Amino acid sequence: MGAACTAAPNAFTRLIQFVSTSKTQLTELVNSIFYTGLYATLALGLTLVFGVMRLVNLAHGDLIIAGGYLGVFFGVNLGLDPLVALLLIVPVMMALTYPIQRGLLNPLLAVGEEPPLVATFGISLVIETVLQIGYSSNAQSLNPSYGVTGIDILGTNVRVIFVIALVIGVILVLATHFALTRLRVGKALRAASEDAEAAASLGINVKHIYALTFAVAAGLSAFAGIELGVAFSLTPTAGLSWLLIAFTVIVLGGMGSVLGTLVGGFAVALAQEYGSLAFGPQYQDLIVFGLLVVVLVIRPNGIFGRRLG
Amino acid sequence: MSAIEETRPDQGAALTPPAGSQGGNRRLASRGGGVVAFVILLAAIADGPHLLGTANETLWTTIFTLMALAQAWNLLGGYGGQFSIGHGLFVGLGGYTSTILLLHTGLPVAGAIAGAVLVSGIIGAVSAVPLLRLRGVYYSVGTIGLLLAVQAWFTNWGYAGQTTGVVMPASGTLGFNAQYYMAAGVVVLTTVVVWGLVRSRFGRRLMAVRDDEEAAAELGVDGFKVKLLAMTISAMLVGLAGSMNGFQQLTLEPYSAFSISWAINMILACVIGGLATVPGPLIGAALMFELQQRLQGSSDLAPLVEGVILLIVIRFVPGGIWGLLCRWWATLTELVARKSAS
Repeated sequence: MGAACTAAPNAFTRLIQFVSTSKTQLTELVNSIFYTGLYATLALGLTLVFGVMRLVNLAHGDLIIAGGYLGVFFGVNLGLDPLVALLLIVPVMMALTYPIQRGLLNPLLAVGEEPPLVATFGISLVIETVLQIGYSSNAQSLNPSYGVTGIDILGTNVRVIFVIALVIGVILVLATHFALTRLRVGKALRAASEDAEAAASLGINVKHIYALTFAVAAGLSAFAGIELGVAFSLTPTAGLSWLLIAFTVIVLGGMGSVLGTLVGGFAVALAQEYGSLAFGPQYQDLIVFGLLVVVLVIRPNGIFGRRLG
Repeated sequence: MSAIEETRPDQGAALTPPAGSQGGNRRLASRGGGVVAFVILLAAIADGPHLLGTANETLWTTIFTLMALAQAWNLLGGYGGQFSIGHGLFVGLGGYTSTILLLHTGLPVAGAIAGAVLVSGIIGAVSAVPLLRLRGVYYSVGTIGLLLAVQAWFTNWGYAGQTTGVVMPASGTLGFNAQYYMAAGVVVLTTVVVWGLVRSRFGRRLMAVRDDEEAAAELGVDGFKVKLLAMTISAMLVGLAGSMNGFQQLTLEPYSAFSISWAINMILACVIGGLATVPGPLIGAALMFELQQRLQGSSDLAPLVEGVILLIVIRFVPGGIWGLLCRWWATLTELVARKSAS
C-alpha cells in the first residue's frame, strides 16, 4: 500500500515548502479580493431563499446559467451589451420564477422540508434540458471588450470583468441588506422568515412574499450568470458546479446571511488561491469542498450566524 | 417533516407512505407492498437471460442495479428521513474498492465484493458521525460536500489512477449471464434486507425517529444510534450495487463513478415510485429506465420528461405511483364490499 499514501506526503511536502519560502503572496490576495464579488453574487440568491423559506434551492445554479443564456439571447437578437441587457434579463427572470414559487413550491412548503427540495431537483432538470434544446451542449460565451482586457492592480493583472463583478457584488449585497433592514417589503420578508404564521396574522401576504423572494433571488442570480458568461463560458449543465461554489460560500458566511456572502465569498476565494499555491491547483476542489464539510460540521450556522439581513 | 403532516392532515403528506381511507388499507400498503415488490422482482428475473438477447440482458443488469440503489437509498432517505444527496459516494467507493482489490490482490470476485461492502460500510459509519449532527437540509448539503471532497481526492489519488481511473482486470471481467444473475441477486437481497428491517423493531424505531425525534427519545430511542445504523446499512447496500456497476462498466473514473446524478436517480426513483414503501423504488427505477430507453433517440428530452413527471408526482400524486395504486385498490375493494353487502 506504499503507493496508496503518496498523495498525502506529497501535498504535505509542498505545504512545508510553501510555508518556508512564502513572503507575502500579493497576487493571490489581489485575486481573492476580486473573486469575492463574483462569489458573493453567485451565493446571494441562494442565501436569500434559504434565509426566508428554509429552502435549499437545488435549481439555483441553473437559474444563474439561465440568466447567462438570456444574455446570449439578447446579445444575438438585439445586439445588447450583456450588462445593459440585465435591464431586460432581471425582469424576465423575475416574471418567469415568481409563478414557480407561487404555484409549485408554496404548496409543497406547507407539506414539509423535503418535497420542495426534491421539486427543485425537477426544476433543475427542466431548465438544463430546455437550455440544451435551445442552445445545444456547446459552450456559449459573452464577449464584450471588458471580458478580455485587464488592468494592473498592485502588480497583478486583473481582468476588468472581475473589477466590474466586485463593484456589482458589493452593491448588490449592500442593497439587499439595506432593502431587508430599511424597506417595508424587506421588513415583511424578515418577519415572514422569523415566523410565517405570526407574519400572516399581522396581515403580511406570506405567499406573495415567498414568491417575491424567489423572484428577486432569480433576478440577482442573473447578474452572476452574466458575469460567468463574460469571465468564463456557459454550458447548460454548468449550473451544478456553480451551485456548489455558492453552497460553500453560504456555509462559510452563514446560511441565510446576506452580508455573510461577502465574507464567505472572500473565504472561498482565499482558500482556492492559497490552497492552489500551497498544494497545487489540482487540489483546489478538494480544499473547497473539504472546507464546506468541515465548517458545516463545526459551525452549521457559519461564521456570521444565520439571521437574515 | 411528519410533525407538519400531523398538524395538517388536509394537506396530506407528499412524501410519506400512502395512507388509505381506512386502517385496513394502511395495512395493505405495508403487507401487500412486500408481496408486490417480490412479484415485480420475480417477474423481472423469470423473464431471464434465455428469453433475452445479450443487449436486453445488460439492460436488465442496469435496471436491477438502479433498483437496488434506489431501494438502498430508500432505507435511509425514505424510512429514515435523512435526505442524502451524496449517496453517489458509496456507488463510487463500491466500484473502486472491488476493482482495486482485484487489481492488486489475489482475492476472488466474491472477496472483492465483500471488500466493497465493508469499505462502504466503514466510510458510511465514520462519515455518519459528523454528518448526522446536521439536521434536515444541512445534512443534505453536508452529504453533497463530502461526496465532492472525496471525488476531488480520487482525481488526485495516484493509487486510484487519478482522473484516468481504474480498469477492471481480467479476473473481474464477467460474462453477461454472470452479471445479470449477480445484479438480480443484489436487488433481491437489498429488497429482502430493507423489507425485513422496516418491519423489525429497528425499522419501527427508525420511522419513529424520522417522525418525531424528541418524542422517540422520550420513549428511550437513541435517535443518533438508529440513524447511524440506517446510514451504515444503506451505505453497505449501495456499495454492493456500486460494485455491480464496477463489474458492468469495467472502467471507472472519478467524475462518473462519484457523480451526483447517482443520488438524483435514486431520489427520483423513490419519489416517483413511492417514498418509504418497498415496491416504490422498484417501480420508480423501472419506469425511469424505460423512459430513458424510449427517449433515447431524442436523448435531450429524457431529463425534461423526468423533471416534469417528478414535479407532477410531487405536487399532485402524494405517495407516488405505489401510493396511487394503493388508493385505487382501496376504492375498488370498498366498492366491491358495498356491492356484496347490499
